[in-house]
Amino acid sequence: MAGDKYSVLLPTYNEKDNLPIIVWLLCKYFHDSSFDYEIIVIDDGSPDGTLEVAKKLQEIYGENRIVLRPRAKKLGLGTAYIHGIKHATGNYIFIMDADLSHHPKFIPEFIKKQKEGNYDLVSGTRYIGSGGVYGWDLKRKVISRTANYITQILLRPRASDLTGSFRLYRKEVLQKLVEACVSKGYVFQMEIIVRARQFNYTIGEVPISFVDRLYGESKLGGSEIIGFVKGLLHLFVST
Amino acid sequence: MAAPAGKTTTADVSLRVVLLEGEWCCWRIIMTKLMEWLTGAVLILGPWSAVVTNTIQNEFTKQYYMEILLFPVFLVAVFGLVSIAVIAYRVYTFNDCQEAAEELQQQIKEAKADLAKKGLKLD
Repeated sequence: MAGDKYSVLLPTYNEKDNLPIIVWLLCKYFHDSSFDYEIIVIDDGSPDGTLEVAKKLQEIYGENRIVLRPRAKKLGLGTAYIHGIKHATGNYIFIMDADLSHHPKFIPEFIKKQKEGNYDLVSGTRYIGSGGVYGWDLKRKVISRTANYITQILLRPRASDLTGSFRLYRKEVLQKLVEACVSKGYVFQMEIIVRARQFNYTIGEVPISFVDRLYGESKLGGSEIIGFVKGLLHLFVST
Repeated sequence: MAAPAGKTTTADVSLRVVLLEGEWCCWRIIMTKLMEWLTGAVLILGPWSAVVTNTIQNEFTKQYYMEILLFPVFLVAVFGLVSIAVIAYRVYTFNDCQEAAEELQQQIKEAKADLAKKGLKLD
Protein backbone atom coordinates (compact mmCIF):
# COMPACT_ATOMS: atom_id res chain seq x y z
CA MET A 1 0.00 0.00 0.00
CA ALA A 2 1.45 3.38 -0.95
CA GLY A 3 2.62 5.48 1.94
CA ASP A 4 3.46 2.70 4.40
CA LYS A 5 6.76 3.25 6.15
CA TYR A 6 8.40 0.89 8.59
CA SER A 7 10.49 2.22 11.47
CA VAL A 8 12.84 -0.34 13.03
CA LEU A 9 13.69 0.42 16.65
CA LEU A 10 17.11 -0.90 17.65
CA PRO A 11 17.95 -0.34 21.31
CA THR A 12 21.68 -1.02 21.64
CA TYR A 13 24.15 -1.48 24.44
CA ASN A 14 27.70 -2.54 23.56
CA GLU A 15 26.86 -3.79 20.08
CA LYS A 16 29.73 -2.27 18.11
CA ASP A 17 30.42 -5.60 16.38
CA ASN A 18 26.84 -6.61 15.66
CA LEU A 19 25.35 -3.25 14.74
CA PRO A 20 26.98 -2.98 11.29
CA ILE A 21 25.86 -6.50 10.40
CA ILE A 22 22.25 -6.03 11.50
CA VAL A 23 22.07 -2.68 9.70
CA TRP A 24 23.56 -4.23 6.55
CA LEU A 25 21.01 -7.06 6.69
CA LEU A 26 18.09 -4.72 7.36
CA CYS A 27 19.02 -2.44 4.48
CA LYS A 28 19.48 -5.45 2.18
CA TYR A 29 16.07 -7.01 2.89
CA PHE A 30 14.18 -3.71 2.91
CA HIS A 31 15.86 -2.59 -0.29
CA ASP A 32 15.14 -5.92 -2.01
CA SER A 33 11.48 -5.77 -1.00
CA SER A 34 11.05 -2.07 -1.88
CA PHE A 35 9.34 -1.09 1.36
CA ASP A 36 10.03 2.36 2.76
CA TYR A 37 11.96 2.19 6.02
CA GLU A 38 14.16 3.83 8.60
CA ILE A 39 16.34 2.35 11.33
CA ILE A 40 16.31 4.19 14.66
CA VAL A 41 19.35 3.34 16.75
CA ILE A 42 18.79 4.04 20.43
CA ASP A 43 22.16 3.66 22.08
CA ASP A 44 22.29 3.88 25.86
CA GLY A 45 25.74 5.41 26.22
CA SER A 46 27.65 2.26 25.22
CA PRO A 47 31.23 2.43 26.45
CA ASP A 48 32.48 0.29 23.55
CA GLY A 49 31.91 2.95 20.86
CA THR A 50 28.65 1.64 19.38
CA LEU A 51 27.52 5.19 18.68
CA GLU A 52 30.65 5.97 16.64
CA VAL A 53 30.01 2.89 14.52
CA ALA A 54 26.39 4.01 14.11
CA LYS A 55 27.56 7.41 12.85
CA LYS A 56 29.80 5.73 10.23
CA LEU A 57 26.83 3.61 9.11
CA GLN A 58 24.81 6.81 8.84
CA GLU A 59 27.43 8.19 6.44
CA ILE A 60 27.19 5.06 4.31
CA TYR A 61 23.41 4.63 4.21
CA GLY A 62 22.16 8.17 4.68
CA GLU A 63 20.59 10.12 7.52
CA ASN A 64 17.08 9.36 6.31
CA ARG A 65 17.72 5.61 6.68
CA ILE A 66 19.85 5.53 9.83
CA VAL A 67 18.43 7.75 12.55
CA LEU A 68 20.43 8.19 15.75
CA ARG A 69 18.61 8.92 18.97
CA PRO A 70 21.09 8.03 21.72
CA ARG A 71 20.57 8.36 25.45
CA ALA A 72 23.08 9.12 28.17
CA LYS A 73 22.87 5.84 30.06
CA LYS A 74 21.17 2.45 30.25
CA LEU A 75 17.54 3.32 30.87
CA GLY A 76 15.55 0.20 30.05
CA LEU A 77 13.57 -1.19 27.16
CA GLY A 78 10.15 0.38 27.79
CA THR A 79 11.54 3.90 27.81
CA ALA A 80 13.70 3.06 24.77
CA TYR A 81 10.55 2.17 22.85
CA ILE A 82 8.78 5.34 23.99
CA HIS A 83 11.83 7.38 22.97
CA GLY A 84 11.99 5.60 19.61
CA ILE A 85 8.28 6.00 18.88
CA LYS A 86 8.52 9.75 19.48
CA HIS A 87 11.10 10.03 16.70
CA ALA A 88 9.65 7.45 14.33
CA THR A 89 8.28 8.78 11.05
CA GLY A 90 6.85 5.45 9.95
CA ASN A 91 3.29 4.28 10.53
CA TYR A 92 4.50 0.79 11.46
CA ILE A 93 7.16 -0.13 13.99
CA PHE A 94 9.43 -3.18 14.11
CA ILE A 95 11.09 -4.06 17.36
CA MET A 96 13.91 -6.57 17.40
CA ASP A 97 17.20 -7.44 19.07
CA ALA A 98 20.39 -5.91 17.72
CA ASP A 99 22.59 -8.88 18.63
CA LEU A 100 21.82 -10.93 15.48
CA SER A 101 19.51 -13.35 17.30
CA HIS A 102 16.67 -11.99 15.13
CA HIS A 103 17.19 -12.16 11.37
CA PRO A 104 15.88 -9.38 9.11
CA LYS A 105 15.04 -11.94 6.41
CA PHE A 106 11.70 -12.41 8.22
CA ILE A 107 10.73 -8.77 7.79
CA PRO A 108 8.95 -9.26 4.44
CA GLU A 109 7.07 -12.19 6.04
CA PHE A 110 5.95 -10.02 8.94
CA ILE A 111 4.73 -7.34 6.53
CA LYS A 112 2.91 -9.89 4.37
CA LYS A 113 1.23 -11.43 7.41
CA GLN A 114 0.17 -8.03 8.73
CA LYS A 115 -1.46 -7.12 5.43
CA GLU A 116 -3.12 -10.53 5.10
CA GLY A 117 -5.05 -10.20 8.32
CA ASN A 118 -4.86 -6.43 8.84
CA TYR A 119 -3.38 -7.24 12.23
CA ASP A 120 -2.62 -4.65 14.88
CA LEU A 121 0.48 -6.58 15.80
CA VAL A 122 2.45 -9.49 14.38
CA SER A 123 4.54 -11.55 16.78
CA GLY A 124 7.54 -13.66 15.81
CA THR A 125 7.23 -17.09 17.39
CA ARG A 126 9.91 -19.70 18.06
CA TYR A 127 7.43 -22.32 19.16
CA ILE A 128 5.21 -23.17 16.20
CA GLY A 129 5.61 -24.14 12.58
CA SER A 130 9.11 -23.63 11.25
CA GLY A 131 10.07 -21.49 14.24
CA GLY A 132 12.94 -22.63 16.43
CA VAL A 133 16.14 -21.80 18.26
CA TYR A 134 19.79 -22.43 17.44
CA GLY A 135 22.23 -22.92 20.30
CA TRP A 136 20.06 -24.20 23.13
CA ASP A 137 20.94 -27.42 24.96
CA LEU A 138 18.34 -29.85 26.29
CA LYS A 139 18.12 -28.16 29.70
CA ARG A 140 17.44 -24.77 28.16
CA LYS A 141 14.81 -26.20 25.84
CA VAL A 142 13.03 -27.92 28.73
CA ILE A 143 13.04 -24.73 30.82
CA SER A 144 11.75 -22.71 27.89
CA ARG A 145 8.95 -25.11 26.94
CA THR A 146 7.91 -25.58 30.56
CA ALA A 147 7.80 -21.84 31.21
CA ASN A 148 5.79 -21.30 28.04
CA TYR A 149 3.40 -24.15 28.94
CA ILE A 150 2.74 -22.72 32.41
CA THR A 151 2.24 -19.27 30.90
CA GLN A 152 -0.25 -20.65 28.35
CA ILE A 153 -2.25 -22.38 31.10
CA LEU A 154 -2.28 -19.45 33.48
CA LEU A 155 -2.79 -16.58 31.05
CA ARG A 156 -4.37 -18.23 27.96
CA PRO A 157 -3.03 -15.45 25.76
CA ARG A 158 -3.82 -17.04 22.37
CA ALA A 159 -0.27 -16.30 21.25
CA SER A 160 2.34 -19.05 21.21
CA ASP A 161 5.46 -17.05 22.12
CA LEU A 162 5.03 -14.45 24.82
CA THR A 163 8.61 -13.62 25.70
CA GLY A 164 9.71 -13.06 22.11
CA SER A 165 10.82 -9.57 21.14
CA PHE A 166 10.77 -9.67 17.34
CA ARG A 167 7.48 -7.98 16.50
CA LEU A 168 5.70 -5.61 14.14
CA TYR A 169 3.19 -3.10 15.49
CA ARG A 170 1.04 -0.32 14.15
CA LYS A 171 2.66 2.76 15.64
CA GLU A 172 -0.37 3.91 17.65
CA VAL A 173 -0.90 0.37 18.97
CA LEU A 174 2.66 0.11 20.32
CA GLN A 175 2.35 3.56 21.84
CA LYS A 176 -0.81 2.65 23.72
CA LEU A 177 0.57 -0.70 24.88
CA VAL A 178 3.88 0.67 26.15
CA GLU A 179 2.02 3.30 28.15
CA ALA A 180 -0.13 0.61 29.76
CA CYS A 181 2.71 -1.73 30.74
CA VAL A 182 4.63 -1.65 34.01
CA SER A 183 6.88 -4.73 33.92
CA LYS A 184 10.53 -5.11 33.00
CA GLY A 185 12.63 -7.59 31.03
CA TYR A 186 11.02 -10.79 29.71
CA VAL A 187 7.81 -9.96 31.50
CA PHE A 188 7.48 -6.63 29.68
CA GLN A 189 7.13 -8.49 26.37
CA MET A 190 4.58 -10.84 27.98
CA GLU A 191 2.60 -7.98 29.41
CA ILE A 192 2.39 -6.31 26.00
CA ILE A 193 0.64 -9.34 24.53
CA VAL A 194 -1.70 -9.70 27.50
CA ARG A 195 -2.66 -6.01 27.36
CA ALA A 196 -3.10 -6.24 23.59
CA ARG A 197 -5.70 -8.96 24.19
CA GLN A 198 -7.41 -6.80 26.80
CA PHE A 199 -7.64 -3.92 24.35
CA ASN A 200 -9.00 -6.31 21.71
CA TYR A 201 -6.11 -5.78 19.33
CA THR A 202 -5.66 -8.49 16.69
CA ILE A 203 -2.47 -10.53 16.77
CA GLY A 204 -0.87 -12.49 13.92
CA GLU A 205 2.11 -14.82 14.20
CA VAL A 206 5.12 -15.58 12.01
CA PRO A 207 7.51 -18.49 12.77
CA ILE A 208 11.05 -17.20 13.20
CA SER A 209 14.43 -18.74 13.87
CA PHE A 210 16.24 -17.37 16.91
CA VAL A 211 20.02 -17.73 16.80
CA ASP A 212 21.11 -17.46 20.40
CA ARG A 213 24.65 -16.14 20.49
CA LEU A 214 26.44 -17.59 17.52
CA TYR A 215 29.53 -17.78 19.70
CA GLY A 216 28.79 -19.32 23.07
CA GLU A 217 25.41 -19.71 24.72
CA SER A 218 23.75 -16.92 26.67
CA LYS A 219 23.12 -17.71 30.29
CA LEU A 220 19.73 -18.09 31.93
CA GLY A 221 20.33 -17.34 35.59
CA GLY A 222 18.31 -18.05 38.71
CA SER A 223 17.44 -14.40 39.14
CA GLU A 224 15.93 -14.28 35.64
CA ILE A 225 13.80 -17.32 36.38
CA ILE A 226 12.62 -15.82 39.68
CA GLY A 227 11.87 -12.52 37.95
CA PHE A 228 9.89 -14.38 35.30
CA VAL A 229 7.82 -16.29 37.88
CA LYS A 230 7.09 -13.10 39.85
CA GLY A 231 6.07 -11.30 36.69
CA LEU A 232 3.87 -14.18 35.56
CA LEU A 233 2.09 -14.30 38.91
CA HIS A 234 1.58 -10.54 38.83
CA LEU A 235 -0.07 -10.80 35.41
CA PHE A 236 -2.14 -13.76 36.64
CA VAL A 237 -3.66 -11.84 39.53
CA SER A 238 -4.05 -8.49 37.81
CA THR A 239 -5.26 -9.21 34.28
CA MET B 1 -13.16 -2.94 18.41
CA ALA B 2 -13.94 -1.10 21.66
CA ALA B 3 -10.89 -0.18 23.68
CA PRO B 4 -11.27 0.58 27.38
CA ALA B 5 -10.75 4.29 28.01
CA GLY B 6 -8.34 5.84 30.46
CA LYS B 7 -6.27 4.15 33.10
CA THR B 8 -7.50 1.03 34.81
CA THR B 9 -6.91 0.75 38.52
CA THR B 10 -5.49 -2.32 40.10
CA ALA B 11 -6.04 -1.34 43.71
CA ASP B 12 -8.13 -4.46 44.14
CA VAL B 13 -6.09 -7.27 42.66
CA SER B 14 -8.99 -9.66 42.43
CA LEU B 15 -11.37 -7.53 40.40
CA ARG B 16 -10.72 -4.89 37.81
CA VAL B 17 -13.51 -2.49 37.05
CA VAL B 18 -13.26 -0.71 33.73
CA LEU B 19 -15.33 2.23 32.57
CA LEU B 20 -16.11 1.70 28.91
CA GLU B 21 -15.84 4.61 26.55
CA GLY B 22 -19.23 5.97 25.57
CA GLU B 23 -21.10 3.88 28.12
CA TRP B 24 -21.33 6.45 30.85
CA CYS B 25 -23.74 4.56 33.02
CA CYS B 26 -22.37 1.10 32.37
CA TRP B 27 -19.70 -0.65 34.46
CA ARG B 28 -18.21 -3.90 33.28
CA ILE B 29 -16.49 -6.19 35.74
CA ILE B 30 -13.60 -8.06 34.17
CA MET B 31 -12.58 -11.33 35.70
CA THR B 32 -8.86 -11.64 36.20
CA LYS B 33 -7.33 -15.04 35.45
CA LEU B 34 -7.04 -15.60 39.19
CA MET B 35 -10.79 -15.00 39.60
CA GLU B 36 -11.56 -17.39 36.74
CA TRP B 37 -9.51 -20.11 38.42
CA LEU B 38 -11.08 -19.46 41.83
CA THR B 39 -14.54 -19.61 40.26
CA GLY B 40 -13.68 -22.89 38.58
CA ALA B 41 -12.28 -24.24 41.83
CA VAL B 42 -15.45 -23.31 43.72
CA LEU B 43 -17.65 -24.88 41.04
CA ILE B 44 -15.79 -28.18 41.37
CA LEU B 45 -14.80 -28.20 45.02
CA GLY B 46 -18.17 -26.86 46.23
CA PRO B 47 -20.27 -29.88 45.28
CA TRP B 48 -17.31 -32.15 46.01
CA SER B 49 -16.92 -30.98 49.62
CA ALA B 50 -20.69 -31.14 50.08
CA VAL B 51 -20.61 -34.81 49.12
CA VAL B 52 -17.44 -35.62 51.01
CA THR B 53 -18.68 -34.11 54.26
CA ASN B 54 -21.95 -35.96 53.84
CA THR B 55 -23.90 -32.72 53.65
CA ILE B 56 -25.41 -34.11 50.49
CA GLN B 57 -25.78 -37.82 50.19
CA ASN B 58 -27.67 -40.37 48.20
CA GLU B 59 -27.29 -43.91 46.89
CA PHE B 60 -24.73 -42.87 44.32
CA THR B 61 -22.52 -40.87 46.67
CA LYS B 62 -22.58 -43.61 49.30
CA GLN B 63 -21.58 -46.25 46.79
CA TYR B 64 -18.77 -44.23 45.22
CA TYR B 65 -17.64 -42.31 48.27
CA MET B 66 -13.94 -43.28 47.97
CA GLU B 67 -13.84 -42.48 44.27
CA ILE B 68 -15.42 -39.09 44.82
CA LEU B 69 -13.07 -38.38 47.70
CA LEU B 70 -10.03 -39.09 45.56
CA PHE B 71 -11.39 -37.32 42.48
CA PRO B 72 -9.34 -34.09 42.90
CA VAL B 73 -6.17 -36.14 43.38
CA PHE B 74 -7.05 -38.00 40.21
CA LEU B 75 -7.52 -34.70 38.33
CA VAL B 76 -4.15 -33.37 39.47
CA ALA B 77 -2.43 -36.63 38.54
CA VAL B 78 -3.98 -36.64 35.06
CA PHE B 79 -3.04 -32.99 34.59
CA GLY B 80 0.53 -33.75 35.69
CA LEU B 81 0.91 -36.69 33.30
CA VAL B 82 -0.62 -34.83 30.34
CA SER B 83 1.62 -31.83 31.05
CA ILE B 84 4.76 -33.93 31.12
CA ALA B 85 3.76 -35.62 27.87
CA VAL B 86 3.02 -32.30 26.14
CA ILE B 87 6.25 -30.67 27.32
CA ALA B 88 8.32 -33.72 26.38
CA TYR B 89 6.79 -33.72 22.90
CA ARG B 90 7.43 -30.01 22.45
CA VAL B 91 11.04 -30.32 23.58
CA TYR B 92 11.58 -33.27 21.26
CA THR B 93 10.15 -31.42 18.26
CA PHE B 94 11.85 -28.10 19.03
CA ASN B 95 13.50 -26.99 15.77
CA ASP B 96 17.27 -26.56 16.03
CA CYS B 97 17.73 -24.09 13.17
CA GLN B 98 21.18 -25.31 12.17
CA GLU B 99 20.78 -23.84 8.69
CA ALA B 100 19.83 -20.47 10.15
CA ALA B 101 23.09 -20.30 12.08
CA GLU B 102 25.13 -21.29 9.02
CA GLU B 103 23.33 -18.80 6.82
CA LEU B 104 23.98 -16.07 9.38
CA GLN B 105 27.67 -16.89 9.58
CA GLN B 106 27.90 -16.73 5.80
CA GLN B 107 26.09 -13.40 5.66
CA ILE B 108 28.31 -11.92 8.38
CA LYS B 109 31.31 -12.55 6.13
CA GLU B 110 29.47 -11.04 3.16
CA ALA B 111 28.45 -7.99 5.20
CA LYS B 112 31.96 -7.35 6.50
CA ALA B 113 33.40 -7.52 2.99
CA ASP B 114 30.75 -5.21 1.56
CA LEU B 115 31.03 -2.69 4.39
CA ALA B 116 34.83 -2.63 4.06
CA LYS B 117 34.33 -1.68 0.40
CA LYS B 118 32.00 1.11 1.49
CA GLY B 119 34.54 2.42 3.98
CA LEU B 120 33.74 0.72 7.28
CA LYS B 121 36.44 -1.66 8.41
CA LEU B 122 35.47 -4.28 10.97
CA ASP B 123 37.49 -6.93 12.75
